[in-house]
Parts: sequence; C-alpha cells; structure tokens
Amino acid sequence: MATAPDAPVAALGHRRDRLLRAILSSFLFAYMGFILAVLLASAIWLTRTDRATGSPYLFGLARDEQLGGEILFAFKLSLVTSAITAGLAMVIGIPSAYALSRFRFRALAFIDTVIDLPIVMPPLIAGIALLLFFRQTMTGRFIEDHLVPVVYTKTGIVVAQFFVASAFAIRALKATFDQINPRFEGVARSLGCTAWQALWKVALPLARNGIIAGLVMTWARAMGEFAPIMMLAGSSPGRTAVLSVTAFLNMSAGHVEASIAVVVLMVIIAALTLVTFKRMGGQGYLW
Amino acid sequence: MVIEVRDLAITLGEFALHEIRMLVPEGEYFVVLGPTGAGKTVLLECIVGLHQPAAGSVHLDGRDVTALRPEERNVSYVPQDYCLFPHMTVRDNIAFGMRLRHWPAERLEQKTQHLADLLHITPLLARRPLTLSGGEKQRAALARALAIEPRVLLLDEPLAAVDERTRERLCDELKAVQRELGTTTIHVSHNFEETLAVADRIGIFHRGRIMQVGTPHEVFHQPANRFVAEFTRSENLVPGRVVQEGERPHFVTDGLRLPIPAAREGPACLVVRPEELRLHGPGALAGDGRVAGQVARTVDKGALVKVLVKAGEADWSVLVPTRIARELQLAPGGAVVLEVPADAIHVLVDDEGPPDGEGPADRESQR
Repeated sequence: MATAPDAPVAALGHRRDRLLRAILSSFLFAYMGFILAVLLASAIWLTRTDRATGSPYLFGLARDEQLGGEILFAFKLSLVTSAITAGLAMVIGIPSAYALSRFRFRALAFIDTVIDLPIVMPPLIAGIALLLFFRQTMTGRFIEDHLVPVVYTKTGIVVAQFFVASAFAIRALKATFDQINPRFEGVARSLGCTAWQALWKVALPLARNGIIAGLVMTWARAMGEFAPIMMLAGSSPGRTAVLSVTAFLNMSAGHVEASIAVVVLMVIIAALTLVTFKRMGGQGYLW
Repeated sequence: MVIEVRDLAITLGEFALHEIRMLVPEGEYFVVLGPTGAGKTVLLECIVGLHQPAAGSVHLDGRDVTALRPEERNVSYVPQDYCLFPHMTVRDNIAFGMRLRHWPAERLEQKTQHLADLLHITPLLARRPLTLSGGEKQRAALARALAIEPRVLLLDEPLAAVDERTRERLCDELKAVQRELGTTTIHVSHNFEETLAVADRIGIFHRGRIMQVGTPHEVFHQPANRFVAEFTRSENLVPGRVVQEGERPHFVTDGLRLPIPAAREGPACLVVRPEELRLHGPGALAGDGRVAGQVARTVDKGALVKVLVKAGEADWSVLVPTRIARELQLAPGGAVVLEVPADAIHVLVDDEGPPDGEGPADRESQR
C-alpha cells in the first residue's frame, strides 16, 4: 500500500563530480564494512578448529548435549515468548495506533511522550522498574499473589518483552494508519458502513501489510530483548534464560563458542526480519 | 431529493464555513464554484455526515439529517482522489455498497452491469484501481457511488485529476448520467468551463461563505458583488455613480455617460464582461454607449484577441474574435471606438466588496 517517497536523486552523475561522490560514499562503505566485518568474524570463528576436540567449534557445540541443549531450549523459549508478546502487542497496538492516528486527543504531546518512553528509556532501567512494580507495589503484589506469578517466571519474560515491544508496535502501526487517507473510511461510511465496518472492511485490509511488518518487527524486538528480562524473569538456564540471556551467561562462564553461536543465530534472525519488514513496506521507527 | 443547508457553520483547522444557506431542488445539478481553500470540500463532507457542524442543519427532503450518521443518509460521495478501495477489484468496489445492503445477487449483478455500460467501464471490472488511469478511476468511483441508488450525489472536484480532453468528454457524460438517473447532485469545482458544461445552477464560494447563488447566466452576467464579478472574470469594473437624468438612470464617471436599466442613485460600480464589449473603427461614434478610445495593448489568446483599451478615462479589457481584430488593424496606440451595449451592463450599487456579515446569501434565489 505505502509507496516510499521518491528518493532525492542529486545530479552527481557527472564525470567531474566523481571525486565528491567517491569521498562521500567512502564514509558509507567504511561503516558498512565495519558492520559486515564484525558480523562475519563471528560466523567465521565458529568454523575454526577447536584444539581440544580437533573439529570445528560448531560441530563440537552440536555434539555437546549440555550446551547445545541449553541453546536449543533458549531458542525455543525465545521463539515462543516473543511470538506471544508480538501477538499481545498487536492486540494493544492496533486499536491504540488507530486511535492515535484518527482521533484528536487533548493531551497529545503527553500521550506521545508516555508511549515513546519505553523506547527511549534504557532497557535495564525498564527492567528494574518492572521488578519494583511487581514486588513492591500493592497492584503488583496483588497480581503476583492472586492472578499470575510474574517475577522469575516465563510469564515475566513476556511481560518484560511486552513492556518495550508494544511501544514499537504502536509507532509502526500508527505510521501505517497515518498513511491511509481517512477519506477511504469516509467513503465507506457514505456507502453504508458503520464505523466498525469501515474499520474492519477498509482500514484494516488497507493496513494489512503494515500490520504484518509491524508484527515481524515487534517479534524481532522481543526476540532480542535482554536487560528487562534479566531483571524481571531472571536468568536460570533451562527455565527462564532466553537466547540473549544465554549468550550473556555463556560468555561469562567462558563458553565462548556457545555465545558466538547465539550471536550468529540472532544476526540471521535480525536480517530475515529486516528483509520481511522492508518487503512489507514497514513504516515508523525500527528500534 | 431536495438538499437544504440552513445557516451551517463549522471550523475545521484552517477551514471555516459561515452561515451557509442553500437549497438544491430535486434533480438539480448544482455546482459549488470557488477558489481553492474556500471550504468547498468541508461543505460536502458536512452533507455526507463526516463532520458535525457547530451550528445549523442539513435537510434532505425536509427531514433534518444533521444528527444522522453518514451510513444512515444514503448520500453518495466521490472525493477528489476517488478513494477507490485498492484491495478490491473495480467490480467489488462497485458492489461494496450493494453488498452492505444485502441486495440479492441478481439485482447486484444487474446494477453493476448497467452502470458499467453507462460509464463504459465493463472491460475494467476485473482490474484493480491502482492500474487505472485518472479518467477510468473517475468512472469507477462514480459507478460505485451510483450503485447504491443514492438520494444525493456529491462530487468533489471530480475532474481535477484528468487531462483536458478527457475532462471535456467526462463533463458531457456526467451531465448525461445525471439527467438519466435524475439524482440531485452537488459538484464542487474551481474550473469555469467544467462548471458551465454541467451546472443547472451555481453557488459561488469564497472564504467559507456563499457569495451568490444563481443560474450560470446570472452568476456570470449579473454578479451580486465585487468578488463574484472579479472571480468570474468580468474584467471591467468601473467605479462611478448612478444619476437620474430625464427619463432614465445613467451611469456616470468623469469620462463616461451611459444609459442603464433601472438602478438606485448613488455610488456604483459598472460591470461588463470583456466578451460583451464591441470595438469599432475610429469615427464610428454614432449610437448609444459608444466612446472613443485608444488601444493600449493586445494579447493573443488563440481564437480571441484580448484588447486593452483606454476609453472614457477608464481601462477596458475587450475580447474580440481574431478575425475582427485583424480587420480593425488593432495596434497599440491606434484609435478605436468602444461600444458598451446597454444589455451587457450590470450595475453594482453601493458595492463595498464581499461583506462580512449577511448580504450575498440573502440574494440566493429560492426557486
């Protein structure tokens, strides 16, 4: 639906402008090279021969039931929790984003700031605040004791991811709805749609690609969350340690190959996510 | 369906409407004509029901529908950018409103076919809107709007996005389709040719107010005020006085004395359209309304030549056919005789430009 605005094309094609072009581009390519070098280093490192076993680290890891199992468990845990989080974020995000895009609010600046806070605040701080909320406040304690235990549980993982990821979901989805001319709904209304039908039959179908892009991005964001999960859900391997936490734990325990394996895995996931997001014409903040 | 707007007022961001009063009788093709930013779209959207007016009301066939939701009004609306639903084929777009009404498949099919034939879009039915040209989109959007057999059809700048030649053809078609179906129509435009091609009556809009309502002839030849006169390109506005002299009133300036039809005495403004003025060779001064002058400049307009003439201590703009201009050998500095035909004269008495309060809206003809 959303077409990218025409990129500015400067007249830099002229032969005599080549030097300028080369100099400016070199900055771009230098940074790109830096990123690729860092990422490739991890991938290449995994294929190196481990002196202790005589085979590449990757194979050793695959054979190591303890470490391999831990990573596999963390991978599955991450997949499941972030999928749930992404789903929940859509449940919150679609109505919120539509409301933000279509209705006029009095304290819009305030609302905007609050919604953006989880994106801007340091993740560790979000985690500490979450922990405090569930442990030290009446509401938090009530939820813990009577509804669902959150702290140091798998639920906590979802809560920690949700807290941050939903803000991204709302941003991405609002950008999508902003791109859809409200007249589409107006015409639908004139043709006989109720407000609900106009939303269901016109606005949502038009937002479909944006919603998919937002879903994928939110999922990836949840997948990569670290500090808030550490704080709220803890880091017990085989229980609440998600992929990123596993990478951290193994790094500190000296199992470098395990954390590098996680690195490669997560880079691949991130790349796939980005490709999907862009294909779907995703809008709004990425991170 | 009679559309009546009573004292409607609304402010939407930078657009505001004030005391809009208009009455569009059953089956009429009414054009709201005005410069960009006059609030024409807001007016349409108030009639559709997309905005709640701050004051005033909208009546359809005498019934107050101001509080009704858009879906309860049966008013069809074609916005300027058409807003064809891009996720549906043209056929599904046309069927959209009919499906919401749960019409039987047979009736739905018949109606779609009828409209597709009428608007020549049968070959496009399976296409997606994004693949259509401007004119095709326009027809598809019109078919979708007409499919629900609306009581009222509202068109917002329907021909703004099509090229000149398509526009001419679509104008004829719009009018023909409206005649055939008899749907009361309000069409918003800023284009004169388009307006003249379709309008039964015209409402001139300016800064959220109605300046004049009337037939095309009334609006173009008897402008109600200075704004309408200037907007409709009655380029000759000469300030002066109306004086009773003998039997008839005359319009008098320092260099002019023209007999005019009845008008109140006092300060006034003479309005004559440039195409109504006549030019004669020097010396042909015999006859009413003739005054000697001098050509200041000529501008070639293709089929016509615009001649700027200084006569009777006033500047005149005269449109003459190219052939006549050639025969008169018009050239800057040359002497001519300007004829202001009595039947072309319109006098604005005591005109002070567009008033802020009431006034122009009161002149609305309530047919």
